[in-house]
Amino acid sequence: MVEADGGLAPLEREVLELRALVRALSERLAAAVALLPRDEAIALARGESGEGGAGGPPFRLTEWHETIEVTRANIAAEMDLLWKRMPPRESA
Amino acid sequence: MTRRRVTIVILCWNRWELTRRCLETLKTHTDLGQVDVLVVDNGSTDETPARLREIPWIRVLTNPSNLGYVRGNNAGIRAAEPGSDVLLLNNDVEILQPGWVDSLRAAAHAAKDVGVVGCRLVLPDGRLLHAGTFILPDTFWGQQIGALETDVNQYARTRDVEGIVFACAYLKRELLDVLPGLSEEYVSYFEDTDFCLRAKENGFRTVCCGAVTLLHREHGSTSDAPELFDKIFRKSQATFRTRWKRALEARYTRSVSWQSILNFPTGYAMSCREILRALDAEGVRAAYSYVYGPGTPFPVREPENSGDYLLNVISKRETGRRPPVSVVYGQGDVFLRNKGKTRIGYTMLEVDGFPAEWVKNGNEMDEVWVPSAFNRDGFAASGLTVPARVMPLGVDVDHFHPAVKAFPNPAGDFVFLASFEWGERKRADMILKVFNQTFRRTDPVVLVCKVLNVNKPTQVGRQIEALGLSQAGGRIAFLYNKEFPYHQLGALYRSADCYVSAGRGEGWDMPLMEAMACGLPSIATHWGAHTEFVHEGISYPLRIRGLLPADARAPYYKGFRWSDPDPEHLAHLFRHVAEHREEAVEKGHRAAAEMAAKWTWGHAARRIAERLDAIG
Repeated sequence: MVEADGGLAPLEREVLELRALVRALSERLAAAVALLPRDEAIALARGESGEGGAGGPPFRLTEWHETIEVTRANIAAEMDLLWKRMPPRESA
Repeated sequence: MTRRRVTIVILCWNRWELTRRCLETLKTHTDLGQVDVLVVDNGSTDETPARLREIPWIRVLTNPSNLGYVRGNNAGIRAAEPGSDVLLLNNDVEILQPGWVDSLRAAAHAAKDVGVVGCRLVLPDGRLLHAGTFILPDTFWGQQIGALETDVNQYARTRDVEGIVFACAYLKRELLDVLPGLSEEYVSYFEDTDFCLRAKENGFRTVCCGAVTLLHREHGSTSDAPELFDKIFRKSQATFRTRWKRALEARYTRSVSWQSILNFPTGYAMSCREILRALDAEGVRAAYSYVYGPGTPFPVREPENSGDYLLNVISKRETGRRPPVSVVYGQGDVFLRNKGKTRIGYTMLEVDGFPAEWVKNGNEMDEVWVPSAFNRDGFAASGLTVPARVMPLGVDVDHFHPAVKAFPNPAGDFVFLASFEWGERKRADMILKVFNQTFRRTDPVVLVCKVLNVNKPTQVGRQIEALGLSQAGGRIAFLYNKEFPYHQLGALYRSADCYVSAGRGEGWDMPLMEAMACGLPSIATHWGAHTEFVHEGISYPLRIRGLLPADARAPYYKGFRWSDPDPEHLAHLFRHVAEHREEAVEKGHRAAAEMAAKWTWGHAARRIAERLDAIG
């Protein structure tokens, strides 16, 4: 509900502010995309990436040994192996 | 705090190399201005006397011959500085940390009634040798607590114990004024437990100070001569039995027959082990018998050896054909195997009701125990008419606490940890998908999943790959079908930053409680037994979208419902925790404090003991 006596002015101001905000965000997005590799930039433009990890090559298990045998393990040795197996974030 | 002077008494007999290492490490890690070091040479015939004379900062008391451990130490206690506290130290002990005397003294003077303080002792290979002792009237064979577990800094707090080994024993002067030495009825062995029990008779407690860890080489003077050891041991044991039999038996003020499962890697068995230990500490003489086997839904015979001395003794106790009170702790379909005059069924389930057979069997009991109000209400809704009491389970805060050793991710990534058996109930698919989609591979965040699968048709690897996860999404690593010794599990939790338990329903959830006791913030489905101990102040409760039919392989779930955890809220919580780490750390601290204050196995056992008292 808009008041008749000059009530439109605040709304107009808000519209101007929002437009400026959208422009600024667009510029920041364009600058960020420019830093991405080409494939990732295209995937982002298609809406395939977004915030999360959807898109990109499918996840594949490495060093997976399917078994129903439960192996007794030592925590120190197993954690050491685990951290070595973890894909580094730098190589993404 | 009292800064009373301390006389460190080190008894030695030959084996100079041990004494040399003991003195060198002591000098490195001790403020010699605060202590007097008195070496009692028990008539050494090697280079020891000459070497001791070369050390200016010690006082030497030379006994003309080997008086034995007890009389040798008593000579040291008598020769200690007047008014000082006395710290007995074996010469095969090495000091590993600065401030160790201060910590022992602080533990001794933390309360008027503390008389004896021991510490953690580790072997050179990294195993924990000692964190206190106990002795059972069934066998009169003293046992060391935590013996030979891999040391992950378990038993790190100061706690009451029945006894300690005197390889390192801090004796407060107020106690020595009453008990001026070890009983010379013993040549060796049992004199330390005897002293602690006599201290107790005189109103003094014995504690183990977990903040101090010393290395014990265990090169005792009789360990290389087994026949001599056996002779001395048997003689001392007979003396001890005569002196303490009645007092040790009087420690038990109640008894119960406990029918359950102990020596299999199941949830009931793991919790049964903890309950039996805690009941014993609470003065309940439990006698265990296996409730499953041929003719039950789990027709396997149970191996006899639990790998634990106390539990083996409890398993061998006779219950009689018809014990006054018996508790069947297991699924409701074995309740009728209860052989007590007063019969109690103690069970739990992950859905909102109980199978008709369990309810029928439950109604044959005098009362039914469940760990949560969730299960109590589920039983009532399913038609249970006998009283249902909420008897919560607990957590072992000696093995699960914030100071347990961690093996942190060297890359510094924030680590979410989930631990589950692969299946519908635990929502592994949702956890993996939501995590993978919420984060990018470039984010400094990882998910570690400890996954178990013993069901042959289930191809876990294929199912994970079929989830459609992205290589560009949040990084996930697996510990697949690895079983860690229970005492090492705390180190797994401590190696993570947040624990995730986002399943559809839980009857209790020991792993979640263990992670919380380790000081981890957690994301936990806010439904089922979780509601008993999970709340906003100490965790991140995960919203549910509603209830669904409990569709899974387990026959017990048929016709009941479980929850539908909200994946969008899970995504929000994943991101929130990763972005508000200080807040998460604070929640973890509060979780650990609350677990220790309200949810230990000691609390659980106390409630059981109180109920047994009420039953009469």
